[in-house]
Amino acid sequence: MGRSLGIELPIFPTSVIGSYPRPRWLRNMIRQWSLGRVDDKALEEAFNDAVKIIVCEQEEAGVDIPSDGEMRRDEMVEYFAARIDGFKFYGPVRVWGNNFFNKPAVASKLGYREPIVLREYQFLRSVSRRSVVKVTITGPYTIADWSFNEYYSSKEELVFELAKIINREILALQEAGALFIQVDEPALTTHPEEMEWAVEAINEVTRGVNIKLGLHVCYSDYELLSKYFEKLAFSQFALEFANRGYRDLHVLSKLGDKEIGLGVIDVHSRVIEDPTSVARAIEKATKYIEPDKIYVNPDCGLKLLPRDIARKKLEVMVLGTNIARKEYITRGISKIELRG
Amino acid sequence: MEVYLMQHGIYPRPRGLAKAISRYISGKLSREDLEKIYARYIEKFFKYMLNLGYDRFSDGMLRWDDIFNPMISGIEGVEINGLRRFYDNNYFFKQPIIKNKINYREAIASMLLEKSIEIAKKMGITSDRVALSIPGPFTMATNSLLDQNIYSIEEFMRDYVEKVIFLEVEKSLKIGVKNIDLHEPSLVVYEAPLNYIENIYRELSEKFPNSRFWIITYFGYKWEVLQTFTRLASKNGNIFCTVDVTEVSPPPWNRIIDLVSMGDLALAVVNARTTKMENYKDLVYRILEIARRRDSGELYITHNTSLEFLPEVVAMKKLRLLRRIAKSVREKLYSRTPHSKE
Repeated sequence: MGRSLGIELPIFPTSVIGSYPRPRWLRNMIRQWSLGRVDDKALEEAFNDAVKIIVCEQEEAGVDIPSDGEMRRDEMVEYFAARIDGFKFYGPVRVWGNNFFNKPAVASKLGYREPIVLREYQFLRSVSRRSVVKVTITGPYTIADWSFNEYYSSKEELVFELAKIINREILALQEAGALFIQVDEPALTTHPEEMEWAVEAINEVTRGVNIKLGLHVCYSDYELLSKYFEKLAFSQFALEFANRGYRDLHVLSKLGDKEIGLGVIDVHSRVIEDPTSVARAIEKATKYIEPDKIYVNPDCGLKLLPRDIARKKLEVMVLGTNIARKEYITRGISKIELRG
Repeated sequence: MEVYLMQHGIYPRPRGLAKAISRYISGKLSREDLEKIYARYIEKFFKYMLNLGYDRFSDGMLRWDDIFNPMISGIEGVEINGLRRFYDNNYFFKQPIIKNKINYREAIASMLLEKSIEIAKKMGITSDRVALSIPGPFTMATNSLLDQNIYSIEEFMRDYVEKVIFLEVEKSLKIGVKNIDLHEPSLVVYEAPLNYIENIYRELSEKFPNSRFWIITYFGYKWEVLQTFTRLASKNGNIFCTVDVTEVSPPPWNRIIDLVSMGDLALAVVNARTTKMENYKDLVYRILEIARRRDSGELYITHNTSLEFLPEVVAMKKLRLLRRIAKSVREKLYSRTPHSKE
């Protein structure tokens, strides 16, 4: 088990994966800004206000470790690519249905221009009342996999180059006092033949880091991922289970001394879960992993849900977690330590 | 050998159309107005195909969310639930879950195509240049969640062909569409019961001798699969197989020459999953080498998968590149052969 970071959290700490629906007025403001009707300063103020509200909303729902809802990010790869030298954009491509994203293309040598999410963290830290906040960063493999590569001779070379850049960002966040960073790698298992070197590359982002590092992988092959639990230099794996009806929970037994961020809220369904189903999911998870190694979160980012549903889902998540906590509290187990 | 230009599958949904669809979904646009917008973009797509000189093409499939939807919404016994990744892409589709024995009462894909055919006809495009696109049986089966108590994979494929594909082909013939594109990436990605699938395709092509069936394979290359279907194509003249040479390094050019000597085929030489442009000169040289192996027959040149994996601007560029390749190949080929073509 990782070293203690000197902070206590309630048993089964609740968190989010990262994104949260933007308030309607913020979406309007962004539209106005894109049309040149408001300036950068006004947009920045709107982003800050939105973060304050969204953090407050998470905290009121009872979430122990909030994020800033990724209010400033349109999309998880595009946001980083736009801030790293060497990328260019040709236009949107479909992800599913009528949903598109600006898929970047690597057109020249990549370079770390300046901190990417450092100011996001600093602002989040200044507005949250919680002792720990979560900062999310898209991982090098997913950035590469969701980009076109026109420059590097191989995808492997590109991923390692990106890993150096992401590592610099994480070190900057650590330096600024961040305690919990989650690296998002939803693409990790999509090319099984690339897993060996992909894991090595992802581990490069952890070089010199001694705060808490989580790895989020969703809608993926967890049997395959579980073979690399030990090798991946992360103390927590935030995985999606509600959407798959809690199939594959048995992989938790392979986590060893690592933690699970248990996905208990289906972010692709507008149906609001029952608190008892959340409690049952946690209980099921305890059959495979010790309770002090379980964090509770939605399956993935909540941004595609209507805001009122996202909030209700978080409330239900916390209510369900509280049901699960009761038994442990009566046994005198009410706290765990934040570990790196 | 005659060299033809072929487009297939889903063209990138233009931003203006995507916005209109969002407005329709949120109740801000009427169905009637949305239909007008669809018509405008489909016309634009056809105009583009005409200008570039494509010999056969889809209608852009601008109404489709993926190669399964909306067609599967009309299949009884199928529930649509949850998102599933489309092979190894950052692209998801609503997965069909087979809950009961399937039935199909309306040929949804052909009905949608019929609207495009009306537009095409007004533009002077004959319906035999346009293709209907639907998932092939093995791709449908491997991308569905099958309950083994209801269907084995073979039983499901058989039922899907007899109930869904038959109806679609019948309807498409009524509207004058002969080209049926059957998307079959699973054939080269997964292990397939090849003999069984070959029989299904043989029966299909024999039942509908006036249709032309295109087995569109992509995301991989499997020699035994391509050999099987090219051989079938040589026996039943109304079957074509596409060969994706873009995902193999180095491309198996010598084996393609063997395939071409067996029968007609469509060669996918442009990769619709990368913005990097292919080497024009090299492709012209390779295609010429292949085309010169036979005096008669048809060789189609195309892109591997649907162009929708690319931003629209790059998709257009790739279509122009294919046109340039075809033009150059034809010029060089026909200048040497007696049956030279305009």
